[in-house]
Amino acid sequence: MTSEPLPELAFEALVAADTRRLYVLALSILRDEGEAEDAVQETLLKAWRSWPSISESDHLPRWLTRVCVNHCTSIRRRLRARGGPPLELFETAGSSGDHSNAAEIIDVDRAYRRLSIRQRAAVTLNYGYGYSVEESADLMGCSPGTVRTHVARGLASMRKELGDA
Amino acid sequence: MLDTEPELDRKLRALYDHIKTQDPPATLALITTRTMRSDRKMLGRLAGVAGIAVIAAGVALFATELQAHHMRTPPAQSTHTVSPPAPVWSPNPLPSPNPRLALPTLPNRTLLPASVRVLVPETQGTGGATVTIVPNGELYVQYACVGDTSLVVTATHVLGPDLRPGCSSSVADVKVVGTSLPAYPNQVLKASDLGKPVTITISTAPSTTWEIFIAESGPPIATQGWIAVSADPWTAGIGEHADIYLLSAGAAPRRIIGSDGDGIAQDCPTFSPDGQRLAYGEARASGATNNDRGVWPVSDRAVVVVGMDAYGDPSQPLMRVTLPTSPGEIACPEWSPNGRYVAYRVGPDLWVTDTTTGTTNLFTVQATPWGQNGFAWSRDGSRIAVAEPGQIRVVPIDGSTPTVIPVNGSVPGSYTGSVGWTAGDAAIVYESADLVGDSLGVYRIDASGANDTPLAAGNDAVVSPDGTRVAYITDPSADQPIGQHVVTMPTRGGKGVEVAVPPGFVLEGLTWSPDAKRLLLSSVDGVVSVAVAPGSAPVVYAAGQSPSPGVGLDLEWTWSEVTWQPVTGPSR
Repeated sequence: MTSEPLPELAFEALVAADTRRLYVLALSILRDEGEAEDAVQETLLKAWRSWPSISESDHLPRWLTRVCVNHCTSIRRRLRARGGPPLELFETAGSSGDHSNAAEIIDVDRAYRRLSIRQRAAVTLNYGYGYSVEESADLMGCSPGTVRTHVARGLASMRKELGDA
Repeated sequence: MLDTEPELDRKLRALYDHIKTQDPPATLALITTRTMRSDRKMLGRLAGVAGIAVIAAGVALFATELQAHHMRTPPAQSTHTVSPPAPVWSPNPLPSPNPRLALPTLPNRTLLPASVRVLVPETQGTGGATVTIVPNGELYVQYACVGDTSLVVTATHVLGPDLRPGCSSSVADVKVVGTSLPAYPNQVLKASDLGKPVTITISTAPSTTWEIFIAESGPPIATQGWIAVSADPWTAGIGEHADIYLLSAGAAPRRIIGSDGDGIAQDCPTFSPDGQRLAYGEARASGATNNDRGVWPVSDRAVVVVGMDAYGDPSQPLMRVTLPTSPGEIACPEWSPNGRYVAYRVGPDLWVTDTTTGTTNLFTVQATPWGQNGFAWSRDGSRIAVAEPGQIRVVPIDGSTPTVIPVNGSVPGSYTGSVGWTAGDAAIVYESADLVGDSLGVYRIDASGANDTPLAAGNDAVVSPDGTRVAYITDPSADQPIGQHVVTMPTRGGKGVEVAVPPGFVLEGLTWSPDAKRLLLSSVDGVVSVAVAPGSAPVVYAAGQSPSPGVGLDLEWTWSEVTWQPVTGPSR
């Protein structure tokens, strides 16, 4: 009798181990801990539901990234958000000891939060994670031109907000 | 990676490095594991015959909820714990209809045709008509750009003291020529002109086609006027919140409610069916305003109604209903079809306020984590469909027993979003998450609860004013990264028709024009209307982020909160 590992164990070993990476990615885009948690949870749930077809895939991390990005930019998430994010991140930054650096992060974060969700997603993938424009477009489900537009507009907006223009 | 400057490069890296130090909450793994296991059981049951039991159990649960009282009055009249609405009336409430827009009966009406329609085709630069000016009369001239299959009303001009601004003569050169009739614009007819036949000649630019109506009273095209939107100026500093702007093509956005730094968000404006009042939700940040949108949820919530005059200026509040002092989300009102009531969700309650008396009735509904939208008046005004997790509650406003309709497989707690009634109140179109994935779909279910039918994959579904079509956005998904498109489809189902949208425009919110011939797109990229049928170019009402100070609007968190003013008048 063969003894295949239980799906839960295999899933937890392969996918749940990626939770932190996905959470940081979602947090980078959404800038809200609760929503980032929701996005990761929904990503993992979809992975679980699709486990028979994706468990053997060599592209599992990329699949997870794509699903997570789409959760972050989905209308369902936006429907939940009718206000700004909580301030825990500001407080964390402000308590790091290096006050000048903390103040700068707060300013950058404030400008960054003013970007649209899709601008943040494009900047995060292309800039924060080093994906190429084409890779970012694949992950976001849009054209490379759209990614370029989002990144360009996002960075222009941040320059303006930060007085770097 | 795209290029950026070294300084911004360094700052962004510092931000991302900081974010990467954040650990996921411990609850994430626990919740995920628990969800996976319960989900596996649920899917297994749904896959088999036992799935019916889940549905039955859900129905039983809903039936239990029905034991709750269906309609309540505000705290002053009941034991409900929320604060009384306390409507505040202005000393001189604006009557409806606004007499400024209502003309007296013309004594010699037979001398003047009810309306004169002058079609000026593109190949012809001038059209004209001869009419007789009648005693004490005023002439309305309304002109509209005509596409192959759609009509875009640009503005209504009134020959008389009530000239309505908003469309410059550069858009269309309209001239009135008569024996002694003064030239357009904004001239009052003289007594010596009354009773005389005059010729009105209208010239247009050669590259445009205009349809022009001349009538003795009222705008003869019952169609749309101003557009109102809740937004921030891009130049807003720290502490700014949403204000309400009035938009018109070719003009800079004009803020009509709110001000920089007032600490109050005015949100989700909506015009009354007669276009003469504007309702919106407002609130104040519940704590110190130390980021660009304050601390949320908000407090000091209220629903406010103001009058709108012909110049797009709001009156003092005609009504303000204060909501419970506990923080929550901003309440977003919706007008009843007859313009008498406004309804809005406040947590687990649906409030219905009679704007003629200020009285409010409360109906028990389920709160959702998806915001305060997601309800719609029936076209006959007798019921309100309320989207709840996994179901739609149909609430009769006369206080009789609500009907709870499990939808889309009746999975308890599943996402159910926007709702809209079809023509004749026969069915409800709603959006919901599908059962096996996370994509959103547009569905239709009979008002009786029968024939729950998927119409299309998409989201942001909005039903047209006449209830015959639904527009929605197809979103890219992990499985189908096809990009975003706007599609309309008959609410009875059928072939979807894609609507041409400006390339690269981020699609987030859709709003039908009152005449159902155009769709307003609103997102961080601005506010643009597009023709539902081909033949008319997009019209830009507000730019999104713009390098020019004072030009663009920040619509980031008010993507769908755009309203298009109906302009009432005699039918054509």
